[in-house]
Amino acid sequence: MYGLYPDAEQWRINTAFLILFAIVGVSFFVSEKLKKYFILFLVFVFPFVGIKLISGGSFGLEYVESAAWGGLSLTFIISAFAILFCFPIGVILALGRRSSLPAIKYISIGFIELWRGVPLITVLFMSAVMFPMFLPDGTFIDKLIRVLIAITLFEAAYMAEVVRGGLQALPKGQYEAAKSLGMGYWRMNALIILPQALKLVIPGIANTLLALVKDTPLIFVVGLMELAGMIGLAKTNPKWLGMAMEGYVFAGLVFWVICYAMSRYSQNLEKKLSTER
Amino acid sequence: MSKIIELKKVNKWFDKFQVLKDIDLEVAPQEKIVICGPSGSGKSTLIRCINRLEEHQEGNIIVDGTELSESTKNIEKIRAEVGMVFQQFNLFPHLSILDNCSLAPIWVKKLPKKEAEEIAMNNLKRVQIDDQALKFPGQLSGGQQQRAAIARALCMEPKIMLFDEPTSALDPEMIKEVLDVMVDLAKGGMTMIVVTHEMGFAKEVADYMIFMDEGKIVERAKTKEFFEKPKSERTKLFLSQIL
Ligand SMILES: Nc1ncnc2c1ncn2[C@@H]1O[C@H](COP(=O)(O)OP(=O)(O)O)[C@@H](O)[C@H]1O
Ligand SMILES: [Mg+2]
Repeated sequence: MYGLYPDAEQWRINTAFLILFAIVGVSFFVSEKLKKYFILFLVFVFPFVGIKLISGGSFGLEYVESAAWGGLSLTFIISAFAILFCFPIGVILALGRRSSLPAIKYISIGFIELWRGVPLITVLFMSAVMFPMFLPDGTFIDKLIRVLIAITLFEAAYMAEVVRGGLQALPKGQYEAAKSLGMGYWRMNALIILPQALKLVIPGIANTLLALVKDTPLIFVVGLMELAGMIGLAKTNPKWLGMAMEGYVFAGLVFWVICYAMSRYSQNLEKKLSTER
Repeated sequence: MSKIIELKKVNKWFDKFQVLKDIDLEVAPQEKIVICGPSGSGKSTLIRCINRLEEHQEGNIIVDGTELSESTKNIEKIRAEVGMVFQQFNLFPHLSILDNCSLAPIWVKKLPKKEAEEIAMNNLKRVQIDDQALKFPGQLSGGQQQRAAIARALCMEPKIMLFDEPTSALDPEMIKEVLDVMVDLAKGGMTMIVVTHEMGFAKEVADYMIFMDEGKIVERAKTKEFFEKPKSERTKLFLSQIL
């Protein structure tokens, strides 16, 4: 559950997740208007509060380096961060790829194709091992953060292509109608194009995000242990000897539950939005 | 009288294919002009150049005192003054009819939501579908959708309205309800350029008729003259086919 995180400090992870679940839970019962603020808080404030709480180093909290983070909580942290950031980046890349400005268009294409063409394992190795060598002496970026950025950008490239599929499915008339009403590029995309395009590709988005969650175990190659990795480690512990099978079945089950929940959520979302037609 | 739209020697190409050839056109405020001509003659392209959904390569297009060119900074401002109604309606399917109408006034004109919705309801009443305001476009008939699209354009309080074959995608029994709205609009003094083959409508409201063929304006005449004694053979042939 907590990996190598110090036992005495585990309450900090618990608190972080409790806050998370409390917010999500409460947000189901409050009015639409309040919900907006809850979501804004969740997206822009909570991640930093949560990380501070877990990593410590100030407010009298003892510093726990990210190498000691692990287990299921790490699975959640990585998935949540990557999902949160790969989505907007993917949308921007998708718009960029269809931009009429050649510079933006080719940068976007280059970026997407570069990340799509490289296996995730390679990307992880590069971020963990090679990237620090290029940094000037004295600068240091935490390994977990490097890996997070790598996964986020990797998944953003896939997200971009999914979103582009939605953009291309929209009839030209929607763009023309928006323009003829005097909307500029950003308003047209934010109000008319993206709401429709994203709705069209909810299944594809869900697919990409599920793949992301299931890719998190790969971070073991750079020495970070999330749930599955932790079980690999635990089975060498005499206390857990012979329990490897149960461990992996448990891990599989946990992943399945997470992914099934996400898939159900996406189906509900689809249904809810489609009735508005 | 000063002109609100002026086109001078406008030429336009799609790759090597020339769609518009030396188009000259002037429209005074409150004038109604009907453009007809065979399919592919460049009618849509011509009116789409007026709000720069298409770009022309040669000549000048001046709309309400502003020349349209690559360096036109505020093309959005011009477009906000020029309403357009499309053959395929192009309503926003993810928004209610009311939101379709109030969206641009809120986000482009920066009106308060309440005021924008009031304007929207007034225009929906004008096209007689205020009872459909909370429905979504997919729940309306073709005629209702096109009337909603007209209301949406009117909500921006445009100085000019462009219509590109507004009734061509409609079943016959719905054409009249849309034409009635357009006649009403014309009587209210709107400046209108209408591409249509509804000659009854043209005779009722048009000040001038324009006949286009192969990218050229073949004939431009007062409505009465145009129908009674067209000058060009091609116009005669065309009129004999559609009347
Ligand atoms: N985006 C485009 N690219 C290339 N050719 C086009 C495009 N739009 C229209 N055309 C061509 O330009 C000609 C005029 O089209 P259009 O203005 O739509 O005619 P109309 O509205 O009179 O039927 C047609 O031959 C058509 O095939
Ligand atoms: Mg046409």
